[in-house]
Amino acid sequence: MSDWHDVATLDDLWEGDVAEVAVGPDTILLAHLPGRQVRAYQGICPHSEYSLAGGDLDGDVLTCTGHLWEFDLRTGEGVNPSNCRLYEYPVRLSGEQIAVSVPTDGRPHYNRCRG
Amino acid sequence: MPKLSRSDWYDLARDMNWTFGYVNEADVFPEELSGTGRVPPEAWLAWDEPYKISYREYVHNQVTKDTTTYSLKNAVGRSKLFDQLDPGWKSVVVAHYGAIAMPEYLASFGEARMGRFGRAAAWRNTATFGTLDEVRHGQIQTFFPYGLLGKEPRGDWALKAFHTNNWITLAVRHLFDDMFVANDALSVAIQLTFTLETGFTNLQFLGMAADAIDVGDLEFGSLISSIQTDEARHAQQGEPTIKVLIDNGHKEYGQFLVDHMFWRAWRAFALLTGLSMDYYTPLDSRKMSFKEFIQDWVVKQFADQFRDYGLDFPWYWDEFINELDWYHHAIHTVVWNYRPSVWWNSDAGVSPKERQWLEEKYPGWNRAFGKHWDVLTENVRTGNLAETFPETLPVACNLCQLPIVRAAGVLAGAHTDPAPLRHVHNGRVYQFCSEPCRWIFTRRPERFAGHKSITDRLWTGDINPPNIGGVLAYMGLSEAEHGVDADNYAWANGKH
Ligand code: FES
Ligand SMILES: [Fe+2]
Repeated sequence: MSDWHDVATLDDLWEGDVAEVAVGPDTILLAHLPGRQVRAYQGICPHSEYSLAGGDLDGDVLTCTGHLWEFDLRTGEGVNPSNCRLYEYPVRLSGEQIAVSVPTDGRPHYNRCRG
Repeated sequence: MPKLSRSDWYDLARDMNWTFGYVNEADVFPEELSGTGRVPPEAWLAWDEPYKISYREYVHNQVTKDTTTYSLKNAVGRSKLFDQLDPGWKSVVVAHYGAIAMPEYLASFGEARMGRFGRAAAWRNTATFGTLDEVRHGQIQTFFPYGLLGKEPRGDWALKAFHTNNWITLAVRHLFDDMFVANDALSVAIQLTFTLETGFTNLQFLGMAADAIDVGDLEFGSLISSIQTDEARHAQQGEPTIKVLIDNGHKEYGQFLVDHMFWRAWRAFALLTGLSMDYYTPLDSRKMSFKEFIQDWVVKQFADQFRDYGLDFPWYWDEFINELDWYHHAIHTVVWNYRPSVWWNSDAGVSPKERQWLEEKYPGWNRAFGKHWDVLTENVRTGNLAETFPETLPVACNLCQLPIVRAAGVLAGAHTDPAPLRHVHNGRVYQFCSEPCRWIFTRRPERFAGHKSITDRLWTGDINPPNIGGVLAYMGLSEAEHGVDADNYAWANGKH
């Protein structure tokens, strides 16, 4: 099971922007990629728990400020290191409204990678 | 020219490997230096570091970090920020520099050894960056405290400590000689990068940077985060190394190296981080107790690692968990009692409010340790300061080199017998604080037998005269450098 939550509007999140929102215990990274594509991932870096919203977005690639790990925000895959992917939440756009689906399984929605 | 993506050229640029025609494998990778001989050379080709970096990117990143950190230092240096810091926090910083700056520089030896004798080109490449990292950490952590000299005359212990026979130095030097100065490449990867850095220091540096910002020490905070970002990268040498070792059927040896160094790392942490977190850091800035930090971060991290690699918890795990409740409290008492013998001002950290916090975080603290502090408090209040200095010296463990505090373990209900553990090797008696310390020694006695603890030096006449004055002089402390109570005893009068 999961619930949809309105978390932001496209007015809050321009193309090329990332933002952090919270839904219950989940910290979520929102990203507005070129071409009206919005994605939602775990908001905390899988490496050492820095906030990903503080990172630099260049095209589709986000670089975490912690230790410069890179993630492709179109897919959630790690670019460097490549063996580490972000947990992804489904996103729905209706008009300007961004909604994110968060599972109600009581589990953490969060990948962790050491390095 | 089209820009190739990193994955198109990285392996080719990194993997400088060839088949030896004129020399033997053993001449190029002598086992004493490499330690990789259990696994056949071809199998090491599977070694791969997860986070990739080119030399060009490395230099670019490092220059950016240095520029930021040094300019912050210059700005802060012109302000009164350091003078306004809590005295206990200053002790954290001064203790840190003396105990850590030179070891970071020495760690570059271990990294360089992996850079030459690591059995995979990818490993040598990563270690080369690691060598540069550690040279940088040694330099920056010597330079910064020298900038404090006008305000803190013992800032130069960043360089000096390791050139003395101070008892804290003996312990830290013994540990780091074992871990990386006199260790083969494989063991450095597993013991320094996997066990110490991934297991302990990466997490601790994150916490310490946050605490520094919280108490208002921007300079130290930015220094520590700039170091931590390097540590996180070169620490990744541990995992591929242990993976190759285990995939090739040598789990038992990997486990032995981890068990050996986990205990030693715990001992050093209890001394440096335990005292800092639970006694020196101002109460308002404490986010968690030392015990909570070890449980929530270190234990969790190790549990993950052990599970992922099919390793087991070290055989002494129960003893380790048990020590979280009492060991560093006992060491703190010793360090404070012998405060003139360390290069920082020991912060008793036992004002009424702090004692309440300690009892809350460590139920039973009052029963096991509070009584001792009651006596000290009374002596301070009645002007009997002389009574607060002990007359005899504690016996040091022949492995960890720290005072044997089993008597406190008895008070805390962890031991039944306060007597040191013993072992006889080639006719000489060695004494130990704990079963794991004795176990580490007896597994490879030839590695440790020649070393003299501070107690041995006292008994065999190296220290003259064999009294407190002689000991302090032997330890390299001039009178002006002796540590004093950080708060000038305000805690005893109920103030803080
Ligand atoms: S925390 Fe994000 S790269 Fe380390
Ligand atoms: Fe010991």
